[in-house]
Formats: sequence, structure tokens, C-alpha cells
Amino acid sequence: MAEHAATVGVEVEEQFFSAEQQRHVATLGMWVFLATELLLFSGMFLVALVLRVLHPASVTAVALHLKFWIGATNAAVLIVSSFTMSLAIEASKAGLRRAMLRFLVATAALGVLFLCLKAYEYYRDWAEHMMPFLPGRPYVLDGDPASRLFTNLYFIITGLHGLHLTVGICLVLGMAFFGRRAGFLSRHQNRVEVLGLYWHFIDLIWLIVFPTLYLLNR
Amino acid sequence: MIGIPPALRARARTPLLVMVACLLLLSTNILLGALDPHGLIWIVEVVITVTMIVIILLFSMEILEQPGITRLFGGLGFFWVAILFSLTLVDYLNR
Repeated sequence: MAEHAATVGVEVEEQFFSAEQQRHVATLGMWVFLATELLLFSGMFLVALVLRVLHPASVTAVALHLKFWIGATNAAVLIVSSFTMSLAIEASKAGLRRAMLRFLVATAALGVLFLCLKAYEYYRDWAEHMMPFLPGRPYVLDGDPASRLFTNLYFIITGLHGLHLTVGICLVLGMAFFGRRAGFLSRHQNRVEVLGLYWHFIDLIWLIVFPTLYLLNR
Repeated sequence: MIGIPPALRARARTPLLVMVACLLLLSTNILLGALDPHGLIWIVEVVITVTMIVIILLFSMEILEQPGITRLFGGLGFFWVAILFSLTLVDYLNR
């Protein structure tokens, strides 16, 4: 059965003159936050690049131990999740609440799939003794001290990205929970768009992480 | 487009094209990474990655449709990153 379109809009808070102003402020706030996040991740990408310049052989040795195909699959998973998030946004703009909920849940499910693949990758790293920070556990590239720096950086970058993704999944599921209520789209439609910006950014960061850690150093 | 309500199909065209373009570019990068045909192939891989980032910024995050101040903040973020990378690499690459 075709879904009837609900009224779409934004409930104006007392500190704003209009719904349009409120929308712009919310979007600007998210972009400012994302700019700081970009700087956070960029610092780590730069460290990876500097390590590559200073210790090319050590970095290549680590990169050959990384699970290239899992990283590549995860990149594809996040690209598809960005697609479902875009559909959730478009459904919210069109007032299609049920479709929006379906696409939000699909987005969260793809995020969980990413985390499951990442957890398996970490397990393989553990099994192959690729965790130099674990006390009492031998490190497979022990004879190459510089490789420790890149291996630790790999866990810091992917761990931080995983943390951001976990937050994103919680927010998407929270949005789906509150979005179930009748009248949500008539009062808070722009929240879906703002959340979408965050999700696309997580996708964008992984599209940089994948070549930085897995691809360029092989 | 299977699974997409008819009322949403026209709106889904751009996101679908973005996904297909990004998946094709990613596949190219994966292929180049797996085969590693040339020592300088990393240049192509970087160009492909930058293309994917630009596509997401333009069409998924719709940066050009935002008000001027929002575009300014988005641009400033990347401008600071450019300063960070250029000043650091000038040092390391000239040692």
C-alpha cells in the first residue's frame, strides 16, 4: 500500500526568527563540528604520511599484514550506507515517514556490518601477533621498531573511526526511534538532514583511511 | 529501483548515481592496489580518492546548496588541512 505523505517542517524555537534561520543554524553547527573533526583526523593522516616518508620499508611491511580485502569491503559497505542515508533524507523531505524509518534502519544495519567486519579484522590482527601495544604478547615485526609506530597509528585511526561510527549508529537508531512518532516530520524534519551530514562525513573519512593505510603503502 | 517507494524514485536518482560512481571509483582503486602495475600508480589512486571526496561533498553533503557562511566553514576546514599538510611536508621532504 502506498504511503501518504505527511506534513514536513520545522517547529521554530523561541530564539529563532524563522524556520529557515533555524535550519541554517543547525546545518552550520554541524559543519563547524565536522571541520574540527576533519582537523582531528587530518593530523593522524599527516603522521601516517610522515612515517611513510621516514620509514618506507617498515610502513610497507605493516601494510602487507593489513587485511586489504576487509578494508576494501568496508569501504563499499559505507558507500552503500551513504546511499541509504541519502534515501532516508529524501524520504523525510517528501514526508514519507515509514520509508524514512526503513532507510534509517538499513543505514544502521550497514554500520553494524562494518563494525562486525572490523572486529573480525582486529581478531585476525590479534591472531597474527600484530598488536604491539599488548603487554606480554610477542609482536610479529619485533625486529623492526619503526613498524610499531605505523601499526599503533593504524589501531588509533581505525579505532577512532569505529568510535565515530558507533556514535553514528546510535544516533541513527535514536532518530528512527523518535521518528516513529506521528508529527515528527512536521516538527523536526531538518534533524534527519543534519544527522545525514555526520553519516556522510564518516563515510568520507573511511574513503581517506582506506588508501592512507591499506592501499598506498603496499 | 527495487525497494524504493514510487513517490521517492525521482528523488533517489542523484544518490543512486553517487553510489554507483563511488563504487566504480573504489573498484578501480582496489584493482590498482591489488595489481600494483607501476611504481607511480599511487598518483592515480590519490586522484581517484580525491574525486570520491569531491563527489560526496558536492552531491551527498550538498555543500554548494548551503548558505555562504556554511560554505565558508566547510572551505576553511579544508584550507587549514592544506596549511597543515603543506608546511609539514615542506619540512620533511626537504631534509
